[in-house]
Parts: sequence; structure tokens; C-alpha cells
Amino acid sequence: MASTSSGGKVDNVVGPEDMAGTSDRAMRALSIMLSPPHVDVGTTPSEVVHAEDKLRLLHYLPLKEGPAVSPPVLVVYALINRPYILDLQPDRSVVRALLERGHDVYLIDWGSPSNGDSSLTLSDYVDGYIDRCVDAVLDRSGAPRLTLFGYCMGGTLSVMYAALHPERVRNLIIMAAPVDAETDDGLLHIWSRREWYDADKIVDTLGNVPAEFMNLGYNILDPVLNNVGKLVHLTEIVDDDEAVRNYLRMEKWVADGIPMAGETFRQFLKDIYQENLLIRNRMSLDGRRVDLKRIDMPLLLIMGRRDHLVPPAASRPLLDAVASTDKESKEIEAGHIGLSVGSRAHRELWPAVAEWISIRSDALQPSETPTPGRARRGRPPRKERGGAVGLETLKGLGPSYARRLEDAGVKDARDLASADLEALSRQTRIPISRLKAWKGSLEG
Amino acid sequence: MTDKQGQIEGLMEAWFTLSEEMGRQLSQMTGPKAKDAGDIFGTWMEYSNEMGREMLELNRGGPGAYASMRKTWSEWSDRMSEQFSKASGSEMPGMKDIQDAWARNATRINKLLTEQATRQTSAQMDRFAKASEKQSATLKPMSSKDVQDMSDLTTTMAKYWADNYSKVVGSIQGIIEGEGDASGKSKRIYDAWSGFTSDMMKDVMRTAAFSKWMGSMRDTDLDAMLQARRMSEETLRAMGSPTRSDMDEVQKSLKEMTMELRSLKQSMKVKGANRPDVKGADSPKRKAKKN
Repeated sequence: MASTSSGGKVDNVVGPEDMAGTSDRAMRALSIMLSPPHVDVGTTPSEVVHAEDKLRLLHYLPLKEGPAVSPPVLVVYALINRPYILDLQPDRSVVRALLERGHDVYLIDWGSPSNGDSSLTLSDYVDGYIDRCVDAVLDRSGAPRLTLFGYCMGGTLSVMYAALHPERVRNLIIMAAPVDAETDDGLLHIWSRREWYDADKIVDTLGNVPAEFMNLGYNILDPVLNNVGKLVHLTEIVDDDEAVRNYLRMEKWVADGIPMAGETFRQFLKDIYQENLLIRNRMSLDGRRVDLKRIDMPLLLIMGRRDHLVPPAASRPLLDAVASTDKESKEIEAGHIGLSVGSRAHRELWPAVAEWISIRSDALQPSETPTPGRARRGRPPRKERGGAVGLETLKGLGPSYARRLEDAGVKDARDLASADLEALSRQTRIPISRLKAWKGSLEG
Repeated sequence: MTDKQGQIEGLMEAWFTLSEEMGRQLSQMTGPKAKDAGDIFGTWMEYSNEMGREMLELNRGGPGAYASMRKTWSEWSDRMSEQFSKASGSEMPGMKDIQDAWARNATRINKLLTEQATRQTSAQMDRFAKASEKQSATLKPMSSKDVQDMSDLTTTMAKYWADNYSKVVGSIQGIIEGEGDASGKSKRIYDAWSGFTSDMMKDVMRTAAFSKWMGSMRDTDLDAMLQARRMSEETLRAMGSPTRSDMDEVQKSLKEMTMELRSLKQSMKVKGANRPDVKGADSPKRKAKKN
């Protein structure tokens, strides 16, 4: 969830100046606040590689010569604010931090839902949009699986996706994501309890839940800081152009919220915040159970100790809920937004995260080498016709499916090509459509 | 039969009577002075078809059918009156009869349309009154539980204030009396005040009393918004205009259709991938081209 704060206490108290000077700065700060000049955000070069409805899938162009680390990283941000918080300014950009270390980065920009989108559900997002973006990334990169990185509510969606499609996720990175509501650490968790938070009334009245409505809630989390503190902070930095620009970028992002599709809001509030179904392993999407025990890939959980929107206690239980054996958490002294734009995060956290992904990356195939400044048209790995090709080279066939197939005596692609698919589907409980698609890709 | 159906039938009957009489009278008007009759006939024909369409639309219950029909009728009446007035000196046989037929039936149609307009206005007023009553009912006075919640909230704030007041005042006093320039002091005073207030707010906002109070404020606000929207939708409907809900429904249907199509395409893709024999097979178009 978005913080409404970009200001805060500044330790370097104003120097030996008279009150007239302070008053002059306050007036200038006020004038900047009332008519803020334009600032650029999200400037890392990217191209749109997939679009549907309001969504755009951005592929960031490589910043480094040479091969990109595989698998690619797909970033899933919340449905509330704009995702450019991850690329707010060049020296505080998570996207850049990953690109500079050779990763191939994709990001979902959800766009702003209209009234016609109000009936979209979590299932439409997780099993629909995210799944199709994963398709697009895998098709394009040629990788069999990807690193899924979810931030805030996007982290919760990513957890659901990884539980439903573990075979498509090589690594899972979850940052500041609400997964456990059984905590009193954050005010949002207290305020959203069903005793006094009527999600039905909100959605039935408003349809899509407007950004202003949600921002009001974030604003009163710290009314003094968010309403007075910001002006005081700006007064102190008003002579420093770069600091003012940084301040304005954050303010622009805070004010640039998007509404959330009504049904998604209703479901998220009720299932995640009020019933706590996800961490209790009782969540389902369109009748399909979101079983956290199916998450068996490497997991990195990132939390901010000063995160007042999603406190660590709301994320930490995920570590024990999944089946992954390779899992770790990183907590740093940062708030919800500081995790992505804070100087400490960029000094300590992001180099470590990039390294964490690199260690867990697949060997790069020569054909997967991206060329800087030019879009790379990826193709699925070539298969030797009739040769003993490994099952995991097939698109969408990960280690879990491979294990199930091997247990049924299907060791490689040749076995799959000659198998009775209906019998195999019954034996492995893998949907026949998937088996057919894999077999079809062999024949094609 | 409902009132509305009765009125529509009344109007249609008046319309057919008028059509029949006018048709009969006009067909009998021949002879050298038939030019005036021709003008009347032309005006009649010009609007007759349009009125027929309006009548059908009205019968179908289309939105805004009455409003549209009143407009057409009013224009037609003016034009017909103008033609009759031009032909008033005509000695052509049958002219008086046709004028009488028009006046008699037009009066009846006017009366029916006016009655309908009055009835619609009165129905609209009724709906407004009912909606207002409903809204008043939702804006009920605070219950004793609400009062208790408010009181708990105030008590929590007062307690925090009492516990910390001397500390913060002492701290501010210390800053004022201590070393430093006025500007630096003002910042430190602000920090002391904002720290105290923020902490107090955070403590208060964690209480059940605050959450309940906030929930109740929000619900009241949402109730008022909902009532206002219902009233504006009622008004728009009465005027025969599409409402926000109508547009939302259209948008939703389009969205659902798009999604259906997408999933259909996907399943076709999967099926296609599974049928290499079909893959690359010539479409009838391509076959024809080849041949």
C-alpha cells in the first residue's frame, strides 16, 4: 500500500538565520506545493512488449553489454499506485539496480481501471493478467521459468500466482506484502476489521474504489507528518534544487493513485484482511485452492522494520507457510516506500537482492543474449527432433510437473511424444490441455 | 391493464381516429381550388410517418418516448394550424369538415399528452419524496452506543493529554529558555509539538473506539452518497436519459465479452497446438487462391 508521506523530521535544524528567512522559505515552499513544477519519473528506457485492456507489460532495455542473467525478472506491483515508484529517479531505481547487474527486467503497469472493470476479481488478475504476462515474458526470453518479484499488494498476488503455477516460477521475491492479518502492528490491520469496516458497503456504493478514498486512509495514519510535516520538510530543503526535485517526484507519485476494481477490493479486503484465508491456506480463486505448500522454489522475503502500512509481522509468517527449502528474509531499517526509494535500501538491499537472484539463475544460453538498446525477440529453446530432450525444456513444464511425469514413467520428450495423453493425465493429474500443448510444441 | 398501458392505448386510438378522418377528408378534396388542400396534405404526410414511428416507440416503452412524441406533436400542430389558417378563406367543399376533424382530434391528443406529462411529474415528485424520507431514515441520530464510543475516544485523548502534557510543556519551556536563535528554536518547538501530537494520535487511533467512530462516519458518508446517486439516477431515468448505472452495465458487458473472446482464443490456441495435422492446413480462401 502506498505511503502518503514523503516528508519527515529533519535532524539538521535550521542554522543561524532570522525568522524572516524562515518565513520567506515557508512562503516559497507553500508556493511550490500549490503549483509544483514538472518533474520526470520512470525514465529508464523501456518498450511495451504486451498490452491488453488497460495493462502494459514493459521490458526495460539492458544497460550493460553482454548476456543478461536468466531467468528474466517480472515485477508485479500493487493495484493501487503507479509502478514507477520502482523507477522513481535514476539514482533510486530498483529497476536500474537490477539492470546494472545484468538482469533482464519486465514490469507490469496495470493502468487505471474504468467502471467497466469493476467486476474484475483477484482470479482475473492472478490467473488472467499475470499468467498472460508470464506467457509473454517466457515466450520472449526463451526461458522456461522466471523470477517473480512482487511488491506490496503485488507481492500478495505473486504469492497466489506462485502457489497456483509453481512450475513457471524459478525464484520468488516478495517485498512488503500483506499475507497475514493476525497482527495489531499496523493501523490498517486494525481499521480494516470486519466489526467496523464494511467492504460491501464501500464497493456497492462506489463501484471501483477511488484512489482518493484510499489515500484518505493512508493520510490519517500519520496526520501530523502528512499534513504539516511535509510543508515543514519542504521549507527546510527549499534552497536545495535537487532535494526539492526528489521531494516533488515522491509527491507526484503519491497524488498519482489509481482506483482499484471494486470486486478485487472486496475480495482482497475480506479474504486477506478480514478472514486471513491466504496464510491459513484456505484461500481459493475461482474454486482453485491457493495452496502455499506448493511454493517450493527459492523464496526471498523483504520487509521494512519501519513499514507502518505492512509491518514485518504481516509478511514474516509466509516463510513458515511455504514448502521452499531455500528461503531467507531480509529486514532493513526502512519504511514501506523507503524499501524501494531509500538511500539505505539502494546501498544495502538492492545489490544483495541482485546477487541473490544471480546465484539462483540458470546457465545462460548463447541465443538468449540480449543486445543493448535493441529489443530481443526471444524464441523457445530449440529441441532436437527425436532426440532425448529434457522435459524441462518445454515451456511451462517446471520441476513439479517434471517429477510427476517422471513418476509416471515419462522421462524425456520422446516418452511424452509417444504417451497416451488421457491415461497420463489420469495418472499424473496434469490437465490434458497442458499435456496436449506440450506434445503439440514437440510436434510443431 | 396498467394506467400506463391505458394511456398509450388512448393515445393510439386518438391517433388512428385522426388518421382515418384526415385521410378520408383529404381524399375527397378535389377540384380547381385543391392547392390549399395539397399543402395541408403535404404537411400531414410529412409528420404522419414520424408520428407513427413515435407511436411505435411509445408502445415499446423506449426511454424518452413521451418527451420525443410531445416535441414532434407540438411541431406538427403548429405547422398544421399554419396551413389551416392559410386555407381559412378557401371555399373548397370539405375544408371545414377537415378543419373540424383536426381540431377535435388534436384537442384530444393534446389533452392525453398533457395528462401524461402531469402524471410523470407527479410520479417523479413522489419518488423524490420517498427517497428523501429514506435518506432521513438512514441519517438517524446517534445511538447510546455511538455516544459511548465517542465518550471513550475523548477519554482516551484526555488521558493521553493529562499523562504527557507536563512533559511536552516542560520540553517546550526548556527550548524557549535555552540557547539558540529564534529560527532554530521554532523548529525544535515544532518537533516537540509534532512528536507529542503524532504519538497521541497513534495511541488514540489504535483504540476500538476510534475505529468504530471512523467506520460510522464513513458509513454515514457512503449512505448519503448512495442516496444522492439513486435520486439523480431516478431523475435521469424519468427524463429518458441513460444513467451512470446503464453505462456501467454496457461497459461491463463489453468487458465480459472481450474476456470471453480472449479465453476462447486461448483455448483454440491450445487445441491448435495439439493438432499438427490441422496446423498449416489450407484455409478455404488459401485453397481457392492456389487453384
